[in-house]
Amino acid sequence: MTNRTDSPDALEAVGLGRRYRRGWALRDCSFRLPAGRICALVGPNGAGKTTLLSLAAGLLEPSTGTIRLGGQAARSAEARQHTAFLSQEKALYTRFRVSDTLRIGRELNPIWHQETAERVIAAGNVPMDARVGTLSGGQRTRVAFALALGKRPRLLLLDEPMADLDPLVRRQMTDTLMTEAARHGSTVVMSSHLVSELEGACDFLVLINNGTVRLAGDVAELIGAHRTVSAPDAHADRLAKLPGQTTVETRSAGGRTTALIRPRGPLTADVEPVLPSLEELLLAHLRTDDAPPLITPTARAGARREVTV
Amino acid sequence: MSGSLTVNRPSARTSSGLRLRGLTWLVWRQNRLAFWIGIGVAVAVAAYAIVRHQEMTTAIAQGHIDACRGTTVPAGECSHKLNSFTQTYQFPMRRPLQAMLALPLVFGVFLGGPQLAQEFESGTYRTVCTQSVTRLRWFAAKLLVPVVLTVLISGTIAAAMTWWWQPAGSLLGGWFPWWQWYPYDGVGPVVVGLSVLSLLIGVTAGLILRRTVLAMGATVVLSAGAMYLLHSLRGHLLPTTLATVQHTTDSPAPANAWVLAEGAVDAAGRRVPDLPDCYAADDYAKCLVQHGRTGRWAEFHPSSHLWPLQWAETGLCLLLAAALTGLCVWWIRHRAA
Repeated sequence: MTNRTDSPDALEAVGLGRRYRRGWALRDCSFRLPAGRICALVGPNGAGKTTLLSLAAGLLEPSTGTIRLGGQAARSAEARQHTAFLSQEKALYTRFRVSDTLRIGRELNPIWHQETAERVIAAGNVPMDARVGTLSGGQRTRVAFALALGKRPRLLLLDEPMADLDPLVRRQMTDTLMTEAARHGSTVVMSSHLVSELEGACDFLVLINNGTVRLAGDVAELIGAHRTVSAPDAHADRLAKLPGQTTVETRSAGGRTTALIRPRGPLTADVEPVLPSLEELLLAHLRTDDAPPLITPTARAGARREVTV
Repeated sequence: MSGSLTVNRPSARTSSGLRLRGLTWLVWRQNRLAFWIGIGVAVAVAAYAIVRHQEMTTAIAQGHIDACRGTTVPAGECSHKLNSFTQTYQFPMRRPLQAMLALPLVFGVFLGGPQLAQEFESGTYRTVCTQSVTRLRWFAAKLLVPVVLTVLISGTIAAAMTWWWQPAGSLLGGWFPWWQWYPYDGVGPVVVGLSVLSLLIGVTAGLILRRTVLAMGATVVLSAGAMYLLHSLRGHLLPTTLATVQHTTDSPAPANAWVLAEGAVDAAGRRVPDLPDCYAADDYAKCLVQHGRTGRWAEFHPSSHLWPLQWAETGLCLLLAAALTGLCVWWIRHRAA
């Protein structure tokens, strides 16, 4: 962590905000994502996920703050060349043939790997001369992935890419994505509101809600920073008054009260703390608004600079 | 894996002939059906006009109608010849010349309106603008390629219609006045000017409204409005010629002139209102003189003003089109998301 100036972060947001006429979609958002990670961007609908990804893809200009990809401003030519973005609707020209669609990538990018793109297409048995409009949803997603992966991007931004796919195709596409990302050391940011599709695939997490970052960091670090404690409902007041701990959420089910806490010191023996699952962690944070944000040191923007000074 | 690496070097590949590259290719590919239809129509109109022009000049030569050029008397052999010439050759070109009024709208509605609106509506602009091109470069291609094709297609059609109209127009003179909406809107550079302006109105409407059907509808209304305004403005784009003649009741304007205003003058040359009362008098001319109307004045464009007026209007169209381009660039930089 002391000498990383030579390999800048895949993504770094500092004080990043974006305001629309209706109000702030994203506000004072600061975190960093080290290169080579597979990052899940989680949040309910309308939380600001698409805004954050659009800012990273250079489709939007920040109202406040900065966003840098690999040390370059998100809207710079250098950042554009090495970043691929897959929007929610995965919009392609429906009258274009698959081969024409790949040619878009070839014509509009200084660096293009036709073989990578064709391999992705071939893995799904999609005919190259078929018109995009005649393809099934899964095939179309595959073509969109091929267009994104053919760029062999250093950073791949995916906005709910699997939302409209059946579980089998979703599995296939995740495998293709992970294989290609691993092969070329790409960093991936994948937004989703499906907690289950992230478990196992991602090693980094950014959770946003109401336009602000609630959690950011390495998945293991984040889980390690929390404990689930439970007690029978009759003794629920014991959980509420844990000295010196931050309680994220308390809920009661089946006669027991469970709390997700961030321990800050030794816990009393009788509450039996256990590590939460990723799903428990996410759900607890999605259900509450008032837990203080937690940005682990790996994800803290500007932390690197503090260390090297 | 390094074996599959392809680094595109556009400059190195452009030497391989006329293959379209980059954004130019993309915009061509997106619009190629419309472009080929336009090119096909333009070629057909050109071929047809060449044939009709040939027929007409042959008929003029064989019938010795040339000698009747400039005839204004509605009687005699010349009148008969010109009448039959009009029926055979001028009638069939009326509808096509009238239809030319719609040509700019076609470019605006079918090429301009959907050009950006469709991309915003379907979200495909996100796909293109997250390749290694900036939004402004994308917009430049989305605008320039259709503009070039619009100029080529409307220019060819306008030249063909001018070629078709020209023998009839020059022979018939005042019988087929050049300044009426047809042929005026169907010939010459103004066709290109109006087409480019209408295209830009369509593109701008698409950029701001971001809905294809809405943009197409707005283009019809706005382009028609702009054409109407230009139509009313057109006579004032160049200074008119003023003529005052004494001792006559006829207009001092030459035969095939576009008269914008005329009236009576008194002996001192001052403009005085016409006297409708004299229409009923036995001797109209004498009645006018008795009431001090000794001559006539007229403000007009002689027929030699046709092309200067057309170029002036074309210039105005291109100026407005450039202003709309500026608006689009500003919008993309500051508003569009």
